[in-house]
Amino acid sequence: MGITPIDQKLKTLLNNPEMADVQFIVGKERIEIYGHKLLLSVSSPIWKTMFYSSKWKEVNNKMISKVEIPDIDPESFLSILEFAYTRKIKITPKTALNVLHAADKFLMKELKEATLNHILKNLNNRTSLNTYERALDLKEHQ
Amino acid sequence: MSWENISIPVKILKPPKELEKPQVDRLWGLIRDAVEEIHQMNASSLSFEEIYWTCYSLVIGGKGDLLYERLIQIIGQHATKQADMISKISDEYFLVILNAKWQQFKLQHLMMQDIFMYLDQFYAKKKQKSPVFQLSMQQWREKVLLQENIKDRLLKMLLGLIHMERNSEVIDRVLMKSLIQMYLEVSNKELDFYTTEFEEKFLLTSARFYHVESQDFISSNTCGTYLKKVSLRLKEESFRVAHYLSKSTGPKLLKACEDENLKEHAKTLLSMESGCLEMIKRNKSDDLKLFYELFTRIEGGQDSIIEVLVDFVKAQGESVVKEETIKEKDPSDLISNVIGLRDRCEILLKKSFGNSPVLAKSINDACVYFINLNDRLPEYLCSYLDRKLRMAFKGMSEEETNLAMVRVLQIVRFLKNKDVFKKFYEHFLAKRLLSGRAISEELERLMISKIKQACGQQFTSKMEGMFLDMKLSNETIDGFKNYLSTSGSLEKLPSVDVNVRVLTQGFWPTLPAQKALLGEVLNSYCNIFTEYYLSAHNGRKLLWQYNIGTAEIQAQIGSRKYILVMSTYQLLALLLFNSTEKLSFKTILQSTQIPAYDLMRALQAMSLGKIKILKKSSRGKEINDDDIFTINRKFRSKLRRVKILAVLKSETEPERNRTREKIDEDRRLLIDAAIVRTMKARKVLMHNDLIIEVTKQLNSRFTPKTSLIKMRIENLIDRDYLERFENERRKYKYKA
Repeated sequence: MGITPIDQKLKTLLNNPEMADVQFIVGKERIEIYGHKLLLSVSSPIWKTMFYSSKWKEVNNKMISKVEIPDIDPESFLSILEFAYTRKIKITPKTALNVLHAADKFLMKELKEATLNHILKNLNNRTSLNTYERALDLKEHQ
Repeated sequence: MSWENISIPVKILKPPKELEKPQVDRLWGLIRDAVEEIHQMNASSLSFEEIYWTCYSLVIGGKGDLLYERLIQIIGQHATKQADMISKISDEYFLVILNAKWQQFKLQHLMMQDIFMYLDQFYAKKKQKSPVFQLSMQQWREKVLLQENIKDRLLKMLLGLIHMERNSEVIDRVLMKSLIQMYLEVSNKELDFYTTEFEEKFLLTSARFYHVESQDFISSNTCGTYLKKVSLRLKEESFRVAHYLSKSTGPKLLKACEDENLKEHAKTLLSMESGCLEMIKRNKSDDLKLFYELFTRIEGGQDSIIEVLVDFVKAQGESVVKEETIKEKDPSDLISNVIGLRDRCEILLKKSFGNSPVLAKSINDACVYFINLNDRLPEYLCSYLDRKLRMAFKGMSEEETNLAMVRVLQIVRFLKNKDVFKKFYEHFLAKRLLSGRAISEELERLMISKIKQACGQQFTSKMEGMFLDMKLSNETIDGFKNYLSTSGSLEKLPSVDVNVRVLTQGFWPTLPAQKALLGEVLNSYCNIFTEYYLSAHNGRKLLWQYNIGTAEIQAQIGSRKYILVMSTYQLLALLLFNSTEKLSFKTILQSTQIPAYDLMRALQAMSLGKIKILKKSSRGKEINDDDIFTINRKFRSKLRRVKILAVLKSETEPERNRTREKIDEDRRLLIDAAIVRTMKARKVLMHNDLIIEVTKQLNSRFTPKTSLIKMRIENLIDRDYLERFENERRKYKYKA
């Protein structure tokens, strides 16, 4: 009898309202996505501060349960969560740049690097110059 | 999935544009307000998320420079304000307020660190500038801690508190820890603020403190008391480090403390009236332990203890091994004292010096020195062991016996001339085995096995050979008795219970085979035995040694019968009185042919000792040729079995000299062998190299004198084993 790896177990929690303690309102579509603060905090110092640092209003009032993320599309956001939960990167050409953008913003260093590599590897002369420039720009930021 | 035919959602991914001024002002305004709130301690209403995104937008918008510069300004202003306020506080509350302000400042800037995470990550790092929190620490350092009204006052008060604590007053350690920690927290890789502004000065003050204290204390206390105090002080300083100083200060502080308390006074502590030497003399092992523990902490401390210890052991040893300490020719006390001194060293080593291998070696060297001062010590050791073994270590348990043997062997290991020990041990062993007295074979064998352990297999081969001879002799004599009873040769002879020991030449210390006239009966027995033995062992040669035999006879003196136990010589002399009443010494000498010296001793024992079987005509101990001996008819003894002992001299001068000569002879042979062996291997060798090589080879047995080796080389040249080079006289060549 095998033991289920932890990432498979954690994957069942992905966007699962059960035991969730934060709700994200994502994108222009205002889609509700459920999250678990503990798991998120492990991946991003921003979330860690936001959810757990008692110095700030958010934790002081114990009221943080809804976070608005208007500038990222739900699909990209879900793949960010999936990385946070399972350490697996699932990006599509469509979401790649948005994931990169969000990883930068949330200081998710590993995700950012992985995405960047992925994009640069799959880049060819038929890909949009725009993509290339944006990616380089973010790399520059790093 | 392929990357072809993909439309990139450019909408969201527009590259960030340089922000316009009004927008920048608005965002900066938000941040400035937030920082102000934090500095006012009003942060509980601030939302992290909002401020973080504001900061993020500014950095993304290319305004990192602006944000960073303005932050420095704003933090600097805040720190200056704090400094102004703190500097006005009176001494009484100065430290407490400073600490409170510091804690506040730290908390505020930890919050700032949160907000400016993105700035740290993507602006400061890239431009190789300090992260925001370090910036804050730097501002506190420069604006507050270096402010003229604060800097010296803070240091002085901290050092003052430590001084108070050293004088047994209670101080607020938590406050100390927090403030000293502050020095550490505002330090960084480039600038070790703690070391330069606090530690250096603290170490100086500490050294000064102990300089004064130690001088005062040592002049009015004993060494032991002083060391206890120092030990306590060292412990206190260790606790001080643990409680409120940086770990890295520990070794430096202890060193300063040790230097002032111990190194400065090392000479005094070693030589003062109650110092190291005195502690050793009086076996104060606890004080000495402390002495050692403390002194090993300072440079050269161990060496100076070793010096005192070695001098003591050598001096003590010199007096212990002096010939003059021997009373009545009994060296037991000398050996006991040597063992005692060695034991004492061992105990000190264990109890006081933590079994340090370095000290153990020094002690051993000192022992080697004094033990080899007295040339006769190996002989005394053997005589000591002889006494113990003859009495089978009376009064000692198995364990004690074992220990006693081990102790003697420890001394043996230190002997340079082990060959002397070996010869004398063999000599005494032979005497014990042939004395006819019961011996404890178990103890003898145990002793030999211990010698073997210490000196090697070869060393004890002769001793073991002696035991083998004894065993074979028993078998031989059983066979002989059997032969006597069956062969019928007994019929013509009176019955004598004969016991013969056949000693293999080479195993036993050689004694000159001396002739003596045995008389008819004994002579017949000897002849029969010779016949019997040679028939069984063809080709062997038997030499009789009457001088070491013993006899038991039944004698009637007056009305009583006695069993007399005596030496063979004594028996031969006594037998003469069966046929006559009176005999002169001269007559006895002629009739028995016993060497005069031996006969004299034999007669002395029978006429001058406690048991007087014979009466001598003249008074005094001397025996003259004309002295007449008669049987003492008045002899009485309560015991039926009477032992006539040899004159009380366990080792007579001639015997001793004989053993010595034998040792010298053996040494010459060993040196010859070593020289020839070496030259055969090397063919050509310089004089000095040959001496060194030979000495090295022989060292485990004895230390050959260079002069003796030289003599042997000359001798070997004469005997054509070696020759000198014509042109180079100090060079030898092996002649095959």
